Amino acid sequence: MAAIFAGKLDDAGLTAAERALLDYAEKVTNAAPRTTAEDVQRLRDAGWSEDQIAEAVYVTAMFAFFNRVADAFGVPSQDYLSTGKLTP
Amino acid sequence: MPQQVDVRSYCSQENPHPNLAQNARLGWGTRSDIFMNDVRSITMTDEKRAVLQTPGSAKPSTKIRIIEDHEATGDTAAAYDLWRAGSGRKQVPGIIKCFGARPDFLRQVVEFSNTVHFSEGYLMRRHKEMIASYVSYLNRCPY
Repeated sequence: MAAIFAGKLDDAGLTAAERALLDYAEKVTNAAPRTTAEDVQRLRDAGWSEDQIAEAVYVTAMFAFFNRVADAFGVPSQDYLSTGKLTP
Repeated sequence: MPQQVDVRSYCSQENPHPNLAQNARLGWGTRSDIFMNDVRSITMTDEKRAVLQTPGSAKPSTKIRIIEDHEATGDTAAAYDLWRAGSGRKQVPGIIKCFGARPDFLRQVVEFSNTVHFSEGYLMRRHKEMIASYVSYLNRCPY
């Protein structure tokens, strides 16, 4: 997880499916209007279900929100990740 | 004879204002009055200048002011308590305190996180954590 947080996907020991999921999250983060049906098909081909893809978009967008709030206020972004166990 | 000083020069991010209690004691009104530039200038006395220049006097560590645990009152304190109860942690993290201005929203934000992220959904927690870590990395990078 530390390698991912440092952006080093090649060193993170990811499966091909996980890598496809993170590549898609990257495109949603940086260029959501430019995502295509083909991008989504690549995820289906990697084995992700429609519901899983939808949820990946929710998590990606939720973090865009938290990262922007954290950066604007000036608290560390990783604060949120460290809050971890909100559910019992 | 007290001298007129433009308060804005004392309330910059580099040289922030002291805390609310000090403001009240010195008759300055609220911190937000000063920050919002409602007070264009104030009369500086030696005591006020000493407070402003005291090293380590409640220097805000964030760009936008957050309500710290020890200064939270009313509904904000209640919302922080709710977070502590739900998380089992004593210290409310900075990202949660960013929402202290709207404790009603803070509760919704926590619920939203619990529903979407801190849960097993269609994706495993592990995969959500991967996305969260990578997206947070990407959002730190200027593009």
